[in-house]
Amino acid sequence: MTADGIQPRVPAPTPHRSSPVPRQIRLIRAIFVAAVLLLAGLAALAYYSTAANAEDARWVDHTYDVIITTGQVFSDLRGATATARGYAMTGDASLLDRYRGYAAAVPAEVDALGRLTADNATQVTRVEALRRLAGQVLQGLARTLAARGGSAAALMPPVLESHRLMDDVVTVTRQMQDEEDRLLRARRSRAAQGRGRTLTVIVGGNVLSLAVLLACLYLLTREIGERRRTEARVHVLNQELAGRNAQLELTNRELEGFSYSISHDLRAPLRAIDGFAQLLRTRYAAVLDAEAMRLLDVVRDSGHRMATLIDDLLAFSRMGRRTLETKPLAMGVLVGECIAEVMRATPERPRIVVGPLPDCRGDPGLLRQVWVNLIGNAVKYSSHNPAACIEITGHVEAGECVYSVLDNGVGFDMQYYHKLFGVFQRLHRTEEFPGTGVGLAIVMRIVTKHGGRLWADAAVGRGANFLFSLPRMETPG
Amino acid sequence: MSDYQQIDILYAEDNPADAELTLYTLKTRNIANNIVWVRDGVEALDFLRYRGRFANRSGGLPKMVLLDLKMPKLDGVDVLRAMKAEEKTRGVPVVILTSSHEESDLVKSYRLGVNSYVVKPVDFDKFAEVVTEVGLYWMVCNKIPEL
Repeated sequence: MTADGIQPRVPAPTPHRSSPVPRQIRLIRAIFVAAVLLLAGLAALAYYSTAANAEDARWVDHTYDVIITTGQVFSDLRGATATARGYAMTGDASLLDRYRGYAAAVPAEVDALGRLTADNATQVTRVEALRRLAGQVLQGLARTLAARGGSAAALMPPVLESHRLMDDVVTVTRQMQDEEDRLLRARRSRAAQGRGRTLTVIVGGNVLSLAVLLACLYLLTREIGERRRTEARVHVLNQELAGRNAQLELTNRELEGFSYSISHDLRAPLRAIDGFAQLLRTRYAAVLDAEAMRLLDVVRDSGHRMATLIDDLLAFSRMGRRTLETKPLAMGVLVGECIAEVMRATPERPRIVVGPLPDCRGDPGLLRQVWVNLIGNAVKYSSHNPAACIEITGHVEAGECVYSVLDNGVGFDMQYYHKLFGVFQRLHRTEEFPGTGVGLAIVMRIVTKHGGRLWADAAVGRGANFLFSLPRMETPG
Repeated sequence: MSDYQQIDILYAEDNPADAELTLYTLKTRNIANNIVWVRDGVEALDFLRYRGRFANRSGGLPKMVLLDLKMPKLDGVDVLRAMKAEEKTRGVPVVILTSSHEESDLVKSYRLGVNSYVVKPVDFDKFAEVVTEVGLYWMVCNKIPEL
């Protein structure tokens, strides 16, 4: 029977867990984060949509530029043709000047048109055709000017040719304008679509965010209501508790008065019983026979026993009222003192082996009582064994200090284990081993008060092992 | 000086059984012969102040006062307080007897200047021993200034 072989009968203390965040709060947090992400996404989307719309608008403007420039080329060519023809017929110098202005403007305009349509292969081809036609028109007009002053017949071929060329110019510019019109329509429609999509996304997104935030608000309101109700419940419970506390305090005071009166009022008659029995014995020794003397001794012994019971009961009740005053303890030193204390009160001299004992925090006065009671019991119940031996050991185990007092005395029947720690409960007759049955109840109270456990293992005739644990508290500082 | 009687002990005790045992012990062991037994604190103070029942008593102050802690009307601590507050009675040794350690007046009594504080054992032999020791110490061994 060793300390390690003993299974604790008291359930291990439940591990302390930190309280988790309630599910409701986690849900609200998640929804709120979702709303924030949604709004951030919407902001980004709105930014990019606006940028895209501006791009679309720029393309629409570009198309207008192409259409206007194309019209410019056409009108300048027509202007040049008209003024050249007029000058050829009238010789008016102002018409020649205007013709030169038109003719000079055309190449720059065609160049500008080329730059504007550089991205569109079809239009580039058409611009090249236009450039070629414009060149031919201007060459034809130069020939018209050269034929000035000649016969009307000499003027005819160049004029007719420029007419034909202008028809081609009309065809090309119309094609170009048609193409640009088509592009304009397409771009307008795309820009409108983009704006519509953006609007849908922004409105939809905002509605969605609003819904999410409303859900959040609803959950929060519910949670706050729940908390308010819980607080109200806690308040009511607290009041009940305070009432019960006051009642307990009253009961405690009554108990104190009760133990005071027990100690005073019960002891006084006992003292009288003992004293007068003794007076009877001494004053009437001459007339009392041996049997009368024995009867008086029984009276006195019973009185003494009752006095002991009262004292033990008081000690037990005092233990319940005492507050713990813990400090770090050198357990080896304490146990040494307790062994000496037990030895002073008994003639028994068993072999006592003390192993290394881990230090712990505890109330020195109360733990002294624990050790004195356990060692005293071990000495008492092994007193019938001529080779009595008591082993006191300790070890650290899973955050606890576990101490054991093992003896090779009479032990006890485990079938009565449940009575072992009760007040005034005994597993041996008083004639065999004196005692009132309070010692282990006191030990149980003290160990429980420290947050520890007490348990035992034994077998009849094979000794007993009493173990107790104390929580291993960190020494502050 | 024929009517002058030296009082050895003033003994205040409400329990007649305790009183009888104490008186028996003090007398049979020759600690004191002249013991005055009163039944409560009021009577004890009356005796010390020559009042009430003791208005016309003879003799001076006792050599010591033995007080039970728990008495009707004035208890032991009350009598002790009154005695220590009066110039005349301040010098008289006072021993308080109590039934058990449970009574928590030890500190109060010492603060008031009690000379001894004794727990009465239930066992008569031990009780007699304690009474004898206290009586011997304060009556025989202890020297007090002449009053």
